[in-house]
Amino acid sequence: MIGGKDIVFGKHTEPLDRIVLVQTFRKTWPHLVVQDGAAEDIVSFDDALGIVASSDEFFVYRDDASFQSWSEHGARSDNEDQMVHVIVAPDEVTFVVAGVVSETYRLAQNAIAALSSSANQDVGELFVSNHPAVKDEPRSKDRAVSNGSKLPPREELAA
Amino acid sequence: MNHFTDLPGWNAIRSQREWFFKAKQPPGDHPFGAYFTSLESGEPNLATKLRIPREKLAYLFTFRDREPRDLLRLPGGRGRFIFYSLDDYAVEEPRQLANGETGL
Repeated sequence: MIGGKDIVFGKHTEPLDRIVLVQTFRKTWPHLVVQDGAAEDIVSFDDALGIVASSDEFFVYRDDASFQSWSEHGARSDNEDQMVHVIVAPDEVTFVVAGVVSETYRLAQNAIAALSSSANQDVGELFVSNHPAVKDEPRSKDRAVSNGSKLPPREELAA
Repeated sequence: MNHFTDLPGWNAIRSQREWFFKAKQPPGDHPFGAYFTSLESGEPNLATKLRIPREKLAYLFTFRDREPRDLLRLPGGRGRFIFYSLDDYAVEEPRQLANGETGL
């Protein structure tokens, strides 16, 4: 009846914070796609800024194939670690990820670290005419780990 | 309140006059319990929001909440629509509203 791990981070976020959040995902998932919680379709990162900035619920998939798999099958062992569900409330952000030992968990930790920093210094990169060449960045797990959070999230455990 | 399940789950729960939802350990580290949602079968991206296999949406039990609500909210954002009981949860006949295939 329920899957995933819910990581709850207590912080008031502004629209730019949410963009930074997804931007941190993009360092590991350069081909990520975004889906509004109430929408059927996905959009690329470049077209998702409006959704991310304004929606209180959205999904970030690793790529188009991940979205297709989730749409067709729901959660499966081979796609579970390819989607992060983000829910924004006035004073908290919830990340629903695959589990503690997962890429999506590390992505959420990286996002929390970015949200915890006082300045959104990376935001400027979004608005230059050419987006950062993410394809040239080190892919993935190694980078994600090296960027790991120093501020562990408040994880909600058993009530 | 709704409980989605697969065919074996549907047959087991509806076999008794009083619906009996057995508390289990869900995947991940969520509390041991019986889980429910206020989301309807027509909710967009339902399997994705609950993070469950699509086949677990095949059948549905719908019942009326007790007043005051005796189910706990899941901590965090999904607490808007996911609720649970720490123990087995029984729904007596007067609260049973509907059950059957969802078409999902």
